[in-house]
Amino acid sequence: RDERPIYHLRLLAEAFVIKGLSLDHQAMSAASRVRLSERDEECLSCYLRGCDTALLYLQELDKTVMTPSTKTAKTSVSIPPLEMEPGYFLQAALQSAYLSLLHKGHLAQGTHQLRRVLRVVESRGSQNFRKAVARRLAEVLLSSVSEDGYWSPTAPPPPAWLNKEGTSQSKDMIYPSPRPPQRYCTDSSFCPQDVVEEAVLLLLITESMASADAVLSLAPEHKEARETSMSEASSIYDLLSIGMARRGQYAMLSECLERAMKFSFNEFHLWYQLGLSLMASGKGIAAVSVLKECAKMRPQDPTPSLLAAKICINQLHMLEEGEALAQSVVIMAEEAGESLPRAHLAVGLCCSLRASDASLKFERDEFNQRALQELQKAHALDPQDPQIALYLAMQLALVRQVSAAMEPLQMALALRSDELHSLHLLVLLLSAQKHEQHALDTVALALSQHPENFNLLFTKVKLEEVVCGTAVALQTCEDMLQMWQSRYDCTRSSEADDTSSIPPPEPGHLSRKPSGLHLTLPDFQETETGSQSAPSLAVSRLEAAMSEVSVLSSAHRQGPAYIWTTLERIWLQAGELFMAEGRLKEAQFCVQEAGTLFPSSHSVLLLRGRLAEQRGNLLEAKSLYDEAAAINPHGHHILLHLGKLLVRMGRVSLGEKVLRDAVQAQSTSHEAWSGLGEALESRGCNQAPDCFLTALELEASCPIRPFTIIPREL
Amino acid sequence: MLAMDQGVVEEWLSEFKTLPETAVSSYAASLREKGYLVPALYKVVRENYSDLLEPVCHQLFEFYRSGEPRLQRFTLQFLPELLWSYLSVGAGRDPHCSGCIEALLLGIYNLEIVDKDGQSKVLTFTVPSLSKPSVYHEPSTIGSLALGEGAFANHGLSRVVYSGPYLQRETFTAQNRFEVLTFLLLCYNAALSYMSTTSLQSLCQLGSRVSICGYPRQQLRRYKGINTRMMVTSEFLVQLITGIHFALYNGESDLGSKALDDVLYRAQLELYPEALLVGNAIKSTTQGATLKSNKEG
Repeated sequence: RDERPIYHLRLLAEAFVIKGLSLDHQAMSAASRVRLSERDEECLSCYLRGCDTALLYLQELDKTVMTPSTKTAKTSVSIPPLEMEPGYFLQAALQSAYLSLLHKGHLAQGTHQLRRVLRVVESRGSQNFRKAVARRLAEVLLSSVSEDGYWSPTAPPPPAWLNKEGTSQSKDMIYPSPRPPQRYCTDSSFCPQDVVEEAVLLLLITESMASADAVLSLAPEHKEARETSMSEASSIYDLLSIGMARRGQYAMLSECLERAMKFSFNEFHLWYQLGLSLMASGKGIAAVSVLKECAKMRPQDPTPSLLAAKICINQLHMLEEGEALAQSVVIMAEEAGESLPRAHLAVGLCCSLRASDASLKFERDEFNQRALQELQKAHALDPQDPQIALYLAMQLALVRQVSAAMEPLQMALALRSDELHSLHLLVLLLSAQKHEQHALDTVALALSQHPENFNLLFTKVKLEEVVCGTAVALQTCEDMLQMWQSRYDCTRSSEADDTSSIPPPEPGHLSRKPSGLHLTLPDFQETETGSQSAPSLAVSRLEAAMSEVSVLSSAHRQGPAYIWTTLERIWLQAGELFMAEGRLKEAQFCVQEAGTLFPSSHSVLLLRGRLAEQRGNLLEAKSLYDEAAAINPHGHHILLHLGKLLVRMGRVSLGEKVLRDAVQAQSTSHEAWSGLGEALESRGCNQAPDCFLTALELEASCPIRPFTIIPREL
Repeated sequence: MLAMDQGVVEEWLSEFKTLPETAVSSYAASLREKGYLVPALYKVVRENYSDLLEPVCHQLFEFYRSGEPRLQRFTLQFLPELLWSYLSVGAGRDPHCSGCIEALLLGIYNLEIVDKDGQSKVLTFTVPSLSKPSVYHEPSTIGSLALGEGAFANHGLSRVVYSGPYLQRETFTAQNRFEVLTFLLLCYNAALSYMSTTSLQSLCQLGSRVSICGYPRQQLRRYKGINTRMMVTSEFLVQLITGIHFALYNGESDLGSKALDDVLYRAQLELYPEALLVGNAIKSTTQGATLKSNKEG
């Protein structure tokens, strides 16, 4: 049989398809149901045979082209596949089976046929056809097969599917080909286990073929060809986006879309998709520049600019840039439609943040003023937006208009009663009005809705220290340590390896195996009556804890930095509380714990300095403060303690200068003002009373923690 | 609620209780034939005040807990309606009797986050690579250019986690609400192939309403229900879009495309890149498809 010339195969394939087509188009008069379905069956069997035979023909054809001149095969490889392009009837033979099945709504059988075709080893003549089939199959899988309905590409459709389509067996079982084309080997090769895996695999194959014969020329005569290859590419990347987004693979998707850029001169859609994928995968800087290009291509669309502004504010802290982007939407006025209030919000947030960064008073006042104006405009445009109302309230709070802030905040809470930042701001405002008990009750309420929020818990500790005393506050610190441990517990699971490109958004996703680490606050008081002497116990506990923590820290520190910063802050907070109680040993322990996490952190150095100062080691304290100030020259707490220490040590004028810096760094810090007042007083300066007055005034509206701890984000 | 509907529901409530263990499977198969039952249950969930809501939720949970796939899907088909009920009651700040819906949703969630052995379920995904042979290709035939150019050549076949592990939850809080709801939609989406038309319609409605309530677009859609804005997250919208995509291609093209537009509208206002990305992609493929069919036609 093999001796027959291969054009016989072609004729056979064409004959089958022609027979099928004629059956399909035959007008049936007075057709009975049975006759109709019989004809359908026959038609389908012709299509199936036609397809298999056509594929076999193309494979055989490939061999004849390759074999006679294997030595010169290198030149024949460069023959463009177009020359091998099958003719009309051969095309029809290849496609009719799956087209007719899908057309009838026989999804499972259509899918099965597409898979059968694609599993046939490719030949040069089948390349274009395979590209279309792979894309079609990916499309069907993504739009119509869900995870639970999925079946393996090497298996026939499950009976439940077939029953729905009125058959009990897939058609290729009923009409097996006498001589099937060669298929890809199934053992030891990758076989998708899930619908998205299969779709992505197919799309990658299609992409590799599409980019190999992409038309890139911008010459006018190639316009049509270029547009075709562009729209083909575009549909591949769209499907890839759908699949990858379902699995959260934005980083990989952005890599793919970057490759699409070669097709995409001035193509808004693909550029926009690239920008979005970069943004979704956290590649902020690249996302901003791509989104800015999008804004240029479509200046009437406010969204790309606002997205870029969002990245600038939330992620990159590029405030000038963010402001300019948002401003470009603001000047569109009504053209920006419903995005206009958000644009004002973005400008307002940028100004507010720049005010917090500014080191000169007039600059700061100006930014604060502008921020307020923008936020008020935003609020007037969209009073229903809880986020705008919140940030308007926050801006008022930042400039210490505490009672004015309450009004928009109440609106924000009326719109969204359990929102985290609004509740937190309410707590801080209540504390600024010195309603500490009320603030504490509100924290409890907020925590019932956001039980694992460390930021809220830190506020709770501060309030408890004032209202209930240090013991209660220390208990909360202890709880926080436990919560930290149970949430981020230490040993990361092996499957979540660091090379995986899923951004671990929730650090809670680290595995929670029990570990030997015990995070508990020290309590050395009782042990003093015990048999073991306190210092040795302290040392052993310290050593044990330190070795555990350092094992932890050296091996597992790759996790998001803020997880470890949180732990550091808990230890420091506990240390401060112990210090306030005069329990210096315990405080020392906590500082050490924090220090093992971040040895050169300025917060650790500051607290060590304060501890030294409290013990009377002024020189040691000064050198620690100096170190801290060298790392963080604008930290007003550091400057405050350093300045006061210098005054205490008799170096009044230098102390005064440092305290002036502290006031400069944080003009609303009443401690800095009163420290400065003391310095001035000690050298008999008559400005001292003014400083005390300012300090008093500020103290009257001072929240328990600064308002800036609430993130300002779009 | 009509007396007949009530009768149908009450009968359904009583018969499962007396069902012997061995009959569960045949019972599950017979549910399909009860034509009046599903619409009657929709009414119970929608009307929310009906005395039947609590026993119905309870029984839906029992179905889910039975482990029988057909019974689980029977419960899942009501998920979009239940989510809407839960969210709209929350938005209206009317604490009235959403308790049993909450309990049902949390119950399903807590069952789904663990596998058969009670271990936290972690869903993984293998990133295909063209450099490894597959049932569809042979690396040698792919141009080395295309391989080297990316196509994850350097990734090999890597396995990545895309969902889980999750914590058991006893109550809804503002902090965990959307984590739970998003996961529930993920479960629903996994079963889309088995969902009825009514369920898909209800999903599209959920998508539209959650996105537009309280916004100017609500007038355009002439939806007269609640008019407070509901919170959403980007991941929640992505899951909604995934379901809407299926509806769009499986018989609900009108409702589906409206819902897709509404979700995109909201994603644009919220500046959510993930939802915009996948929504734009779906919109672009459907437009491409209609262009093609116009050409052919």
